[in-house]
Amino acid sequence: MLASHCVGAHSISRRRVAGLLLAGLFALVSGSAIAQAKAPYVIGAVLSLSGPVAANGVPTREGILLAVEQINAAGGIDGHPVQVLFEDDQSKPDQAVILANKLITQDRVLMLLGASFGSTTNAIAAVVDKLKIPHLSATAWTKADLRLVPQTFYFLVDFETVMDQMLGYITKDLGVKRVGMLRLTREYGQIASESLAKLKAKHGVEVVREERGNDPDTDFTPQLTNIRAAKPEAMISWFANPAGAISIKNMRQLGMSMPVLGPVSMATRPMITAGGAAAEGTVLQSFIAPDDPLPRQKAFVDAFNKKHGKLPEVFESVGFDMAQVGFMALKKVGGERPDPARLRDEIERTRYDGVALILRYSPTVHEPDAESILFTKVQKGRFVRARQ
Amino acid sequence: MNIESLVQFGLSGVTVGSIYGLAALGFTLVFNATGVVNFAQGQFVMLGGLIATTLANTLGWPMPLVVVAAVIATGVIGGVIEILTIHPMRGRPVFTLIMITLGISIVLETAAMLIWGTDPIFLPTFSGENPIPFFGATLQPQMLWVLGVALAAMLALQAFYRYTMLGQAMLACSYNAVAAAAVGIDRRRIVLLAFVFAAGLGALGGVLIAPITTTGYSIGLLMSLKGFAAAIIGGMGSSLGAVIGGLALGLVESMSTGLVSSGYKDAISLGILVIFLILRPQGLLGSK
Repeated sequence: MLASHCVGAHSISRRRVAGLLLAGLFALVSGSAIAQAKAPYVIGAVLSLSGPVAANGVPTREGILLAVEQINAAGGIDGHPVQVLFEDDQSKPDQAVILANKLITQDRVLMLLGASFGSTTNAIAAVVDKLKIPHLSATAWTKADLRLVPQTFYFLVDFETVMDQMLGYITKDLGVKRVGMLRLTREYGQIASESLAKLKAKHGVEVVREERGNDPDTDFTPQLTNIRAAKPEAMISWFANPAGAISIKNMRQLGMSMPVLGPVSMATRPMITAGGAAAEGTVLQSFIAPDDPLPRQKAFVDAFNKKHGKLPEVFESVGFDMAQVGFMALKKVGGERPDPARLRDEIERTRYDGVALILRYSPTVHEPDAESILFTKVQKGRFVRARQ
Repeated sequence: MNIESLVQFGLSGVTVGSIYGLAALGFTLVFNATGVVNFAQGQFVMLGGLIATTLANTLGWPMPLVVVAAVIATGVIGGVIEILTIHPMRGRPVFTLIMITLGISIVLETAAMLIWGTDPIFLPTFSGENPIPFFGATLQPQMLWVLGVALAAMLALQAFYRYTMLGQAMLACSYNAVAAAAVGIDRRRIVLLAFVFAAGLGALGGVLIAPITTTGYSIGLLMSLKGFAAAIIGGMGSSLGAVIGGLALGLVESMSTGLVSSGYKDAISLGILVIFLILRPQGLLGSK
């Protein structure tokens, strides 16, 4: 009886000791955490990580992640670690609205990154306009039919400027005039079509035939058959990948061998993986030739290559720049919880020669400088500079 | 509109149409054996294509082996699905079973997204990419493979029905399940076999078309819709009808894209489905 009591007492005291030790350890750990790291700056990101526009959204996320990893490794922003909450809108505007609202009201993020195409971006712009949260988007502003939301900043060059430069490439670099166009039916292609109609006279270009197709389509042969009959000397294909890559494959299969130009959303990995040999020679509007980076792009390309064992492409670098602009504003405003209104004002003053983009934001300019544009060409399965 | 363009639309339509036909045959097989419209049919097309990309692009298997292996692997998956989900629910209303196939379809799509990712993937063509001139139009070598193999598969299925005991047992089940059971046909085995065959045929379509259109985790739903439409147009339950329905649907799509506008393509082809469901639910070849 006595012996057993003794044993019991012994085991209880051991448990107590263990408990005390644990409590002490916990206090120590949490104490040191408070001493070292301040509350994180939380940023929200709504991107298309699945669905037809995933080829834009997934690499954007990788670029943002690299920027976050770098800044946290360097001790965060004035000791505040940066945390990004990613949400997948599945390439659907209604999802983008729900997720933007959730990030702002529930997670109380300081700013929103993203949306991967026009419709989701416009959906989010309406939310941030109401809730007054700064918003950085990996898309272009469509000047013609959109009011500029004071909260929203764009990271792609608008389509009219892109089309202007494309037509310059066709008439000067290629020296031809007869242009055929195959484009997305939705807004993205619609704006390109309007830009082409507006600018063709300026460049003396003749649009011999224009046809349309949709994101999920996997065969553009009928449309291309009509275009082929009009005998264009150069083609503009205006899609997001994979549809863009498929359209070029279809052209080559139909024996259409003329040069093809495409916008930035075709300068993504599926152009190479899905386009294969057919994609060779395609000229794409981009901001970076990963194999042959400009001096300001080199550090990013090396860091990305070291982390992933592959070269970054255009949307990785756009995502990286978006994160940098956000970080710069957070650093300038500072404090325990930076005021979103002041963050917005700081972003509007951004002067930044980024990896992909040259940014000179002002109250009337919320988009990158046209100088950011770089034409790339697919050569031996890589994106190289089209003009040396 | 010149004749070359029409020939080109026709070629394009027949190629896509034969894939719809294979998917429709899968619908027909399962419908005949169980009375169920299997909405996971399109996912078998997706699985076949994706398994083939792994075998060909990652493991570097030779193409004939890739086709056979992808078809068998998907067939086995179809069989396992029948054993795990359809068989335990036998005797329940057909509507319940259809809902189960919808659920399976979502599970397969999500699983494929997690395994293969969201990027579209190409499969190498079976024999080169040099276009062949054909009456002023151009024909891709892969189109010939699609047409040839799809035709061979359809003929093989007909021969199976006509000349083998098992095939005749399957036919008997589709005509009258009770009478078939009365003469000693094991319906359990027939249903399982129908799922294996349906999955295999869908997969074959998926492997054949992947070099032309790319494949990816999300193509299944559209394939289910188009395969279903083809089966309805041809006459649900008729094998020949499934093939004809598929070809008709493919042709209507490519002609409406080329002659009207791509924006109306799905509206026209699915509008035809609605018209058939209302005015001629038994399809082109079915009987009332």
